[in-house]
Amino acid sequence: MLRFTVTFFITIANLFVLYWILRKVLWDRVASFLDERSRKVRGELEDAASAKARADELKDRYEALLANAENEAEWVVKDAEDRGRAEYRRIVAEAEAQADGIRRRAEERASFELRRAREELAGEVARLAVAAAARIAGRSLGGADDAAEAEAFIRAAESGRGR
Amino acid sequence: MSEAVRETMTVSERITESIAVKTVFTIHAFGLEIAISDTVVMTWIVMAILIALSAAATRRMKMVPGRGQAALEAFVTFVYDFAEENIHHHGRKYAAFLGTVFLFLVTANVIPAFTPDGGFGFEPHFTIKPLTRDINVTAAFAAVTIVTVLVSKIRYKGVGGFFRSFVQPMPFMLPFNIMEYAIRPTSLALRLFGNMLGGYIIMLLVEAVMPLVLPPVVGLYFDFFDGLLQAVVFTYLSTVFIAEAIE
Repeated sequence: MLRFTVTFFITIANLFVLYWILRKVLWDRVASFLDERSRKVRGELEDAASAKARADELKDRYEALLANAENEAEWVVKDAEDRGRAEYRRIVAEAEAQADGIRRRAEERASFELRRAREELAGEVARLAVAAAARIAGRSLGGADDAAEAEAFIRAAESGRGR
Repeated sequence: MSEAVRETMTVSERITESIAVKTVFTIHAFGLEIAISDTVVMTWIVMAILIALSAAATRRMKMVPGRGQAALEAFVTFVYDFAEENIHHHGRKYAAFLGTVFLFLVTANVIPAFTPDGGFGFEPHFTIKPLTRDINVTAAFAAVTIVTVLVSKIRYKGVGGFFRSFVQPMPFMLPFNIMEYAIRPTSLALRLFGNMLGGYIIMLLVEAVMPLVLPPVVGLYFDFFDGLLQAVVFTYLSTVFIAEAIE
């Protein structure tokens, strides 16, 4: 029990052998596995962080684009409204101009028709007056000179009444 | 030993017979007779168990661990952390050595509890005796530890630093510092040897006095708790000695 024997040296050799084998089979293997896993986890975390940064960047770009699109849409709507308003004004002005032209032409035509009707009426009245005068005077009037004279008379009467 | 012979022995004779280290066989090599004791055979068995379990446990490790792998990883991480906390930046290099010593001592100290067919007053077919009842085993562990301490000191402090450390903090400390290198391994070896042998003897006495009921209960302390405690003490002191040597 307390004798110093060769067991001492054999145990030392056994311990070295056990240390060498367990180092290969247990300690280094588990430690390298844990290192690999932590490396992998770290890598995945870095990937996730870079993916998040990229997503944030894309989000910022999207938001900027969205803001621009909103501004642009607002501008387009405003422009369309302005153009619509201008077109409206143009159409209204054009319609008013056309209406004025039509009215003016109608008035001119009406005054022309009135004048012509008056002239026709004056001719007719003169002819009737000559006929009436001839019947009263018992002689036949009806030559061109008589008619012209009667018409001149009526015109003079008209112009005197008009004054 | 036959049952009839054991019946005629006194308790002390039976205890003496139980704790004796016996030669199992002899190897003749290089003109030498190498007596292989039962503690050496048990050392090989413990080594085989540890190597087989380690190989099986680390054979197919998965990135997402199961319970067994998680426990193994936790233990290995604990050993590495323990070494790094105590020996600091060189700790990782010593973790495998300290872990191996711890695993061996725990297994060697606890394995007697797994004596088949024992207990309840029935004589087992064979008994597994603690390896550490042999002073040669504990002395070998202590010697390896102290050699590791000396080699570490020379490696990290240089030969000059190693010799200078003997006269520090004052020259008159030289004899004490030299003695320390003899006392430390001796205390390591004897502490482990004494505790394990004492526990084993107490267990034999308990079995002799009251073979029923009591041995399994007392065995929980002497076989499991004390075995684990002594392995922890040995490993912790080895760590402290190495840390002191290289700090």
